[in-house]
Amino acid sequence: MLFNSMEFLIFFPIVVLAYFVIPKPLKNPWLLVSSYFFYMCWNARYALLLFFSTIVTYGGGLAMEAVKSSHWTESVKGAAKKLVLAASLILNLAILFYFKYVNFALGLLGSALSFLHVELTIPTFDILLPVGISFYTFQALGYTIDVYRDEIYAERNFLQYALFVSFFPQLVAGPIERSKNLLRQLSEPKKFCYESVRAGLLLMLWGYFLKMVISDRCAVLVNTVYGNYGSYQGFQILLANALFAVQIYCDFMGYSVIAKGAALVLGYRLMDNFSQPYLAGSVKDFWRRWHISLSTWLRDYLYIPLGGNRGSRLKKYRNLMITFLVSGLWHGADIKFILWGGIHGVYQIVEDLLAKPFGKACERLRIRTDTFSWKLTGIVWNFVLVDIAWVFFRADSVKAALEILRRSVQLSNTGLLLNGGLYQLGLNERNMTILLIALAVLLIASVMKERGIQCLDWLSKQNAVFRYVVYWGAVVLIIFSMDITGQEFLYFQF
Amino acid sequence: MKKIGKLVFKCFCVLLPFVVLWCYMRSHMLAFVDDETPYYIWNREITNSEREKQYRVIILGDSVANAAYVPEALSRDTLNLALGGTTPMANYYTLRDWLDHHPAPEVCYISFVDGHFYQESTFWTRTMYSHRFRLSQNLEMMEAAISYKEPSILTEHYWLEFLSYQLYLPNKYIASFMNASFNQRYKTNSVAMQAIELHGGRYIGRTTAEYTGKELEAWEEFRVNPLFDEYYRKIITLCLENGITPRIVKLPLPEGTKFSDHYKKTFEEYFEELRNAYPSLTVDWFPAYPKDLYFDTRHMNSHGALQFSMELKEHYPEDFRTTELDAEQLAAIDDSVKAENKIEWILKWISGKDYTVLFYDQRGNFQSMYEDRLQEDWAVEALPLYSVPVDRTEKAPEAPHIWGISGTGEHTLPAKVLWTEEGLKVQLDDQEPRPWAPASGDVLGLIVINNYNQSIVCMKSFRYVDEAFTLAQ
Repeated sequence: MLFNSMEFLIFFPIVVLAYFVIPKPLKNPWLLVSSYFFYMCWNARYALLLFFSTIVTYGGGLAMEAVKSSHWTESVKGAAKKLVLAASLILNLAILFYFKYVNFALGLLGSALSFLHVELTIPTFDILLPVGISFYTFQALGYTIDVYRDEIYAERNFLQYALFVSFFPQLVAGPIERSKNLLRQLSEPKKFCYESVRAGLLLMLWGYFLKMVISDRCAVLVNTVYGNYGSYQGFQILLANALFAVQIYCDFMGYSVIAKGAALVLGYRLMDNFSQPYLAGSVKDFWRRWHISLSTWLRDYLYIPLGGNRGSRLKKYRNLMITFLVSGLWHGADIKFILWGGIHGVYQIVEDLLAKPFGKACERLRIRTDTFSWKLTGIVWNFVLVDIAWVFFRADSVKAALEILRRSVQLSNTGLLLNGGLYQLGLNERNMTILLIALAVLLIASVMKERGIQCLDWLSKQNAVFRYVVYWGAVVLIIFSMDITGQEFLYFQF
Repeated sequence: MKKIGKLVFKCFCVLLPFVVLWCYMRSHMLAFVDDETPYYIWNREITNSEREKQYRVIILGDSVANAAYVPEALSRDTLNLALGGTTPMANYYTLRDWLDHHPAPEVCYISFVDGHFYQESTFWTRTMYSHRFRLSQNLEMMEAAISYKEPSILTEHYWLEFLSYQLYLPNKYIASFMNASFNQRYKTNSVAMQAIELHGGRYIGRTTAEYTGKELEAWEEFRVNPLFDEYYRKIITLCLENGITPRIVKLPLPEGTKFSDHYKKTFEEYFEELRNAYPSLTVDWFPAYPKDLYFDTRHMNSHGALQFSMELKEHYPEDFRTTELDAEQLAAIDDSVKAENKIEWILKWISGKDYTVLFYDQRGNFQSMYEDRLQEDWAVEALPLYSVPVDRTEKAPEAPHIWGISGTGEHTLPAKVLWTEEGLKVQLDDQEPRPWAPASGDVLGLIVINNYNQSIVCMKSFRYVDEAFTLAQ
């Protein structure tokens, strides 16, 4: 069920109304049933995978808890806990591997064998990728590792734990919640709170604006160009690349904001998944702001266990590369995603290597780095770097990405900017105007948030006329975007 | 409770643009829908409202039927209720609507292209979109589709689709609304409604464009889905229950369209079974027409439709007894004549009707061409050419030669042709003389006069090029 579908617009009010009406003991079971229904709308059978993952990690948590309170020696306890953790990880990752990576792995094996001139027919499996499997698997594994590390107690209430894994607002595209945050909140069913509901609904409105007005509009142009990149070059491709960066941001952030808003309507607070990533001055900074729930998950459960910043510089870079390659692989079973992750890893290594000499050079040349123009240069430069990487993410293959990059520097069609040629890329003048207005709104909101002003809080303090002009503007633009929307959220595939 | 009320009120306030837009979409459909939707709306309105005029013949079917049957060429009391993209299912409800509000006709012609025996092509995008049928009828159709698991209707989330259309939700109408730039389509759609009314429900194929493509269809099997078979039989049963003679007509497709032996066998088997079930049923398969009588691989253009209608009229003269047209139908003929680009088709449109065509022959050999060759080529043998006297003023030079042709074949002269120093003029009854100035040169000027209401339908000029007349601008 998509957030931007009719189904959800019927489903959500029913869930919310019932949630606030039914007695307290029934609230969590109701949310659990609703969450499974939400998931099963896509594919009922694959809810079994979700349930299996829940059972395995729930059982793993209880088993580790039992080990902790046993009379065994510490070393035996440690070994037993490790065994349980390993079993839980292997079972969950095996499912993830089978459904997401098996065909990719077999393809690689086939290529390797063919390279070695070994003729072998490698079978492929006709597997439908379960929606959100990467998200809920990581969320459940995060819980298991937290229990293993004694950071939390294992949850004994199965319904509550099952709800934590399947909580519908963030089930299929995150944020990947931490047990310390969401699981704790779920222990106390919520009462109707006017402020929460109001704030949640406004967040949802903002999320729909990002998804439907900006992202889906960008998608039209991006799909036109990427779908036939051989016919385009120069500014056409540069525009498509820039708009893809906007598209994926608004698509994913839109989903996260709707998820956050939907949870808030019910009284639950989900973590922020984005913090104005395109205002970052470096790639390292970008990753502190982009898909925060995944990057912190990888930091806490992969990068730091690998050794993190400890040890030699080489080890640090190794850990960084592993983390980013895994991040790429998490996004999709394709070389292009791994390459995308790798590029970000390399960016950060180069940034780290150059940081000191660059700082010294600035000092010697007396370049002030605290000025607006310097920061702006950093932001633009960072955007360019990130955008180059996005080409690999969006293109159909690595070969296509390289061709797109090659064509993007053939800047012979400058006339396009003046003669209306850009309107031939799928977005007419009206849609382009709407997009520009919406992008201006996004920029203003981002800058305000960067300066510590929460837009929705700020808005709620304005007079009613202004507030309603803004609300109505958003509603009108959303309605006017219905003719080009209906596209799935990009991050569903992950 | 107070806070819940406040929240609901605020939600309503925030969603006010949505509410306003919804009200607009609900009440002003003609202002934004595309130009094909008025034809469905007209169909709904005419079948659900009572009319003074009695119709003896009605046409049911899909777009191919809508394009082929020309009510004004068939009879005074023929109405074309065929709806583009529809199957027997929608047509059953059209007939029911009609019978609920009108006396039963004597004859009902039923024509579908084969595809509509096994799939709905526009159930959502036309039938539901236009709100052609009532909620109860739509629900019946949905239930039937569900019981037969009809894939062309049961799309993904079909109940949500149903709800969206039924409730006029913007997700289904905003594209039209945006394309209409708010209110820009009202005038066009109102004109379209009037034109549909004028042509007795015929909307599709009112064009002289000819199919120039090379691709033609090849039919391998006559296939009928159980759902549509059931409704097909329901239409026939409903006709018989109401004393209506059902006539099934398989319309001619362009020459070159292929039908395999298996197709012919399955077609015959199906209709043989149907004839056994309903002995009074007539089934006709009309032979193919040349490609230039179609505007695509299936739909006849105005020329094809006129030809088919004339042939049908000959085939079933008892169905089309009332040949004297009323004023509205003559206006429809006027409209078709205005759109014509070929002399022979102008003559065919007016053939048998009280029209006169005057020719201003600047070349000087029209009479011999017409009588020796064109009359036969154009299949208008019954329309003899006669010389029209010209009133010449004293100062005017020698008068040109004017020829006349009467639709009824009689030498009627409804107009006075004047030749003055200002040029040629035509005067009808006591009206002011109107200048008639065809393009100069090797051109044949032509005026069509509707004698019934004493009006000039159109003035056209045809250039003689390569032994043929082509419309001169």
